[in-house]
Order: sequence, then C-alpha cells, then structure tokens
Amino acid sequence: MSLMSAQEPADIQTDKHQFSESYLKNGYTLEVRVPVYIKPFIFIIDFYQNYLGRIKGSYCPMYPSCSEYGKNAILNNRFEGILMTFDRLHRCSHDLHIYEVIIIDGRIKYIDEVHN
Amino acid sequence: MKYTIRLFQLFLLLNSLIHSQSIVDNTSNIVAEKLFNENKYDLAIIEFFRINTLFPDNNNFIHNQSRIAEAYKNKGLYIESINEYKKVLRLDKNHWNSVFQISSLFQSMLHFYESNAFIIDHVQNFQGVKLDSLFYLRGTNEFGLMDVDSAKHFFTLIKDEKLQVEARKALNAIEKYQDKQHHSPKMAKYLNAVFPGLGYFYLGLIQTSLATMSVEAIFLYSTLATYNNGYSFGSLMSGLFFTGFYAGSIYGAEQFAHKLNKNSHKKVFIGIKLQN
Repeated sequence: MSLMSAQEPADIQTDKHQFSESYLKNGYTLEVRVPVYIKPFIFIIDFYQNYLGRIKGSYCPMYPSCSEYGKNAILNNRFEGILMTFDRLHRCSHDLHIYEVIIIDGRIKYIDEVHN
Repeated sequence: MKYTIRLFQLFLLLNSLIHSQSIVDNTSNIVAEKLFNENKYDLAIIEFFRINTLFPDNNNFIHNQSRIAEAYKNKGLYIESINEYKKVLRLDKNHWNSVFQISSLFQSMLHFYESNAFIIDHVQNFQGVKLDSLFYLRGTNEFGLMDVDSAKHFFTLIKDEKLQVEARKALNAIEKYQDKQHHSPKMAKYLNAVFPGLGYFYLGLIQTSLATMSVEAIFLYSTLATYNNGYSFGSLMSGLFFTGFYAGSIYGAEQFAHKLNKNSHKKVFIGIKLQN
C-alpha cells in the first residue's frame, strides 16, 4: 500500500482539489481545469440541460444551443464567458438572417459559435 | 542472310528493352490519369506514386508528383498537397505551378504570412504574367492582413492586360470597402450603456434591440417592485439578472460590431481572391 502511494505522481494530489470539466469541442472531448468560482455557473447550465431543458421541450434554433454556447464560453473565457452568455441570450432567435445556416438532424440551425 | 536476321532480332530485343519502361509508364499513366479524371483521387494517388516508385527515371516524374499534389488539394488535404508540391520544387526549383499552388494554398488556409514569405522567396525566378500572378496573390494576402494600402500597391504593379482587369476589379472592391461606413464597436458599446438595446439598433439588429429593451425593462421593474415589497431575495436575484444582461449587452454589442466588420472584410476578400 505504501509502495503504491509512493509511485503515485505528486500532481495527482493537487488535481483532486481542482474542479475538472469535460466538454465537447470540434468533435473531441476535452478535459479542462477551471477555477472554483466558475463551478456554480456550470452547475446551473448542467441543471438546465439535464432537467429543465427536457421539461421545457422547445429547442434553440442556434448552433450550438444557448446552454452549450454558455458552457463553452464560460469554460474557455471564464468571467468574459458569463457576459458572452448573457449577450447570446439577448440575440437568441432574433435577426437570424445575419447568421450562416446549417442543417442538423433535419432541423435548420443558425451558426453562432464561441470565438476565443 | 542468317546474320542479317540475327542482327534484326537483336535490334528488336534491344529496342523492346529500351522502350519497355516508357510503354509501362505510359500505360500506367493512362490508368492514373483516368482515375484522376473520374475524381477517384485516392486510387489516382496510389497509381501515380506506384509509377514514380517503380520507375524513378520516368519522363513524367514531375508531372506525376504534381498530380499527387493536385489530388490531395482536390480532396481538401491542403497540408499534404503543399508537402507534395514542395517535393516537386526540390527537383525543379522554378516549377511555376508548384510555386503558385503553394502560395495559393497557404492563402486558402488563411496563412497569409507564410504565403507572403513563400512568394518573396520565389518572386525573383519569374517574369511577365507569372510575376504579375504572384503580385496579385501578394496583394490579396496584404488585404487579408488588413493592410489595405499595401494591397493596393501590389495590385497597381500588375502589367499583364488580363490580370489588370481583375486587379482593377479588386481595387474597386477595396475602395468601396474603404468608403463603406463601418460599425464602430465603441459607439455600439456606449449606446448600449446609455440605453440598453440602442447599441444593437445601431448595428442593425432591430429584433435583438427590442428584445433587450423588453428584458431589461422587465428585470428593472421586478427589481424595484420586489424591493418596494420588502422581498429582498427576489430583488437580489432580479438585480443580478438585470446587471448580467446589462453588462452582457454592452460587451456583446462591441463584440458583434467587430464581427460585422470582419464579415464585410471577409466578403471583399472572397470576392477578390483568385479562384484556381
């Protein structure tokens, strides 16, 4: 047992205290470490995606959806991402003629991705 | 008579030995070209590669290598295509098609600095229309890098009549782009700060502007109403949402102005880019 703990890399101990989140970007699942103050926002978005979104039933016409955009924006840009999410909520479903169109699962979606 | 027949047989044998390679080359080349023309690029690449590997001294070696690069380009594999064109340049450093294609491919990948560096390295080897084509590519690259004056300079250097027509079109498009009223990110930001939604209105997002005004009005009203009723948690939440949406609209208007300006630049760039 002592031998196993001796072999364990030192950084694993510190990693346990950091919030880690996996998310999908360009078709790849990325594992990113984010500060603790971001955690509540991600929790709210996850809660919406897993529970409220299903109850609501409607779908977002934008690609990625507002919740997915918000999650990516916050994970990539931290505090700036929160502002980006509020801005996206303002723009969602409005003035769609300015966005490029893509068809996903037979539905027309309007592309508005997170740019770093 | 006997010796004459022997000599003739020997001649035939030698002749067949000498030409056997070119016969094989040509037959294989026909197959490879057919595959290429039928857009079966994977098979064409294998076939061209096979000919060049089996017969490295064949007369079409450079042509086959170029075809491999072209096949990769048509498949959308630009980096592989550039690598194959570079192999051609190792054999013939003045191979025009390779130089033009590599510069053009870098440009298509929006690697303007690399494209420019490549043009600068090879520009002294060419003259006439070829030189003008490189100037055109350089001008487009400079426009891609937002250096409008440099772009105009390179377009004016073009002397070839046919390319001059294209260059004039490009110059007109650039001048129109310069004259066009661009959206000021600062103006959009300040307008949204003064009155939420006005910045979006300035950017031409009418529906977003109205939605912003409504959302902000609702949250402001709910904050004040809950505060007056002594419902502190409600006023805190409404206030937070109001602040979030307010700050988000200011940030978003600025970013969106940048995005709109980039889009109009992109449209002009696509318009002036040489289609190859």
